[in-house]
Amino acid sequence: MIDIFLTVFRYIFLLMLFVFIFQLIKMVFRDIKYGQPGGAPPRVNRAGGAAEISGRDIAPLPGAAAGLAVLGSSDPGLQAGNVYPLKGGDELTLGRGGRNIILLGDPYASVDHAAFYGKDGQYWLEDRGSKNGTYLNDIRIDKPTVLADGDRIRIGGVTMQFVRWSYEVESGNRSGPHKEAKRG
Amino acid sequence: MVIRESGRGNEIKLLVLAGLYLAAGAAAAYLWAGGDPRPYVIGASAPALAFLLAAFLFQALRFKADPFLLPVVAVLSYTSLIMLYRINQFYAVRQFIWVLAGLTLMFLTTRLFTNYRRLSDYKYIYGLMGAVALIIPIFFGTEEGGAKSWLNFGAFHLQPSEFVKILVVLFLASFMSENRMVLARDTVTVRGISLPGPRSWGPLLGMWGISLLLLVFQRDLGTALIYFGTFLAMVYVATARMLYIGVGLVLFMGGGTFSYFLFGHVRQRVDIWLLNPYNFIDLGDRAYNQAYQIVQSLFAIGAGGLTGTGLGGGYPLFIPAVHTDFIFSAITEEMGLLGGVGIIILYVFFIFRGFKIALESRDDFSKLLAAGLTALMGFQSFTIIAGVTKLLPLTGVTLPFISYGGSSLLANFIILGMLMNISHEANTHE
Repeated sequence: MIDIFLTVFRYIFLLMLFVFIFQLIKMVFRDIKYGQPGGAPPRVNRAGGAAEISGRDIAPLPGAAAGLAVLGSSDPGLQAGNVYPLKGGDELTLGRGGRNIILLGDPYASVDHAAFYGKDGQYWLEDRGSKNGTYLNDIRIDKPTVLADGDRIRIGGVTMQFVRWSYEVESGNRSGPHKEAKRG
Repeated sequence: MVIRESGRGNEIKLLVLAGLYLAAGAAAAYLWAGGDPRPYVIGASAPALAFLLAAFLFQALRFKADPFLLPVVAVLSYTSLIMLYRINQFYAVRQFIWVLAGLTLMFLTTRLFTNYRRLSDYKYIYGLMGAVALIIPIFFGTEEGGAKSWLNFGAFHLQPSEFVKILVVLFLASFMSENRMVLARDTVTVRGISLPGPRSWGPLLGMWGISLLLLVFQRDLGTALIYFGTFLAMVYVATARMLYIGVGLVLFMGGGTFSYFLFGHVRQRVDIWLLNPYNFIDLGDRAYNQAYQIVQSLFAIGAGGLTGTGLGGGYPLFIPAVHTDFIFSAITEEMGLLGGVGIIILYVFFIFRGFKIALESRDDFSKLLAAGLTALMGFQSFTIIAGVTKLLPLTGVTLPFISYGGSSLLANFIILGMLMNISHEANTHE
């Protein structure tokens, strides 16, 4: 008689382990599906990113016709309000790798994420095969795209704005179907 | 917010289920061993109620930590109590006290170090304390199970390296969060390939040196492996550069090969692992003990089959040190492949939640601390489970929350408390 009870309890013991595990998995799934505060990349603006700035508010930097201004950043090394000027035929590279000019210490940034450069009198933003994408006015770009003053660039938790101080080229003269879709 | 509040509800529900698991185990143990029923009732109800009390206190204090960590640890501790009772009642009684002490310590950690960030201010103090605590056993330590890492205080033995683990992770987390940008930017370009520069090499080599010292002077293979693995994981979290991992692995393999040829105890373990361990049994020297252990462990795991021999139905006492390093074999023998896999699933869950906490926290120190503590737990459980199943050479470390031993259990409960603090912090500012 005792043997039967012993066998029964031995199996209940093992069974309870798995009842627990299944219940745990169920609850965790529910947690992942519905209860997710945080974890999303653009948490920066909520945490007090800089307000809208326009190119006119930022003092022109000598020798530069355009640049990138940081609006908000998840990386303490990249302060909101910092301006990175683009000089002549240079290229501003963005990424997490140490050789980049703008170092993005953001978990969603790739080592070599994107590049910003001037070509044919226009300013271009190009994604360099990043994993989580480069967003121009909240649309992911997949080929080099021309920038206009005030365009917002987002990489992971870092948002930047393209600012332009001199206008050799009309800002309406742009290519890239994404932009037109956005502007309607 | 509603979902966060119900998190504690989940925790309590899961703890009730865990309590039923413990009750079933205690009932089986009573039917198997017999005797006075009262110790079984106390032995099962006290830990179950203590865990539930902790959950209710968290609810009352509006503690917003991850609700799944505590139940997972509860089931691991309950498994420990049942298995130890079955192996040797003396160990079970002591473990019972250690579990309650650990739980208290965990609760105190969540109360006293809620503002854990200020811990990052004293990093060089930890560095120093850790170094001293590691060096002391080399001179005053006693040897147990081939590792000279114990301090004998008469009534109880203390293994400082269990606590030093936490200090090492705290030190590394504060050091790296302070120097993260330096580490990530520091590069030397050689023929177009960017390599980490000299400022990054210093800490890497330093940590490698500490691991080797542990290996040489304390003969504590497992701890050396865990320290170095945790360090590499944290470097990767800080810099996201695979190159460090590659360099670290090369260094590790270099150190491993070096010690294989230089130290008898390392060579022995690797030989037992690579060659057929059954061959060593007839040799009759020290190698015999370790080979015998592994062979008995494999027999035990094999005897378990799918659902095991049932609690009390196997012969786990044939394995030397079954209550500490080899407890996983005993679990697999008596609860079968299902029981063993169940335990592994629980560890995986713990690690998953730990990394999730690291992802959710918002500053570098918290991220590195959570990731480091989780990596530590992961490496430790992997190392010993791989050791007793002969996937890797055997290195004597404890199975977190399950192996018998006060130092290890208390240290692991402190880690649990720290992870819950980081999780609370991350969820508070949503």
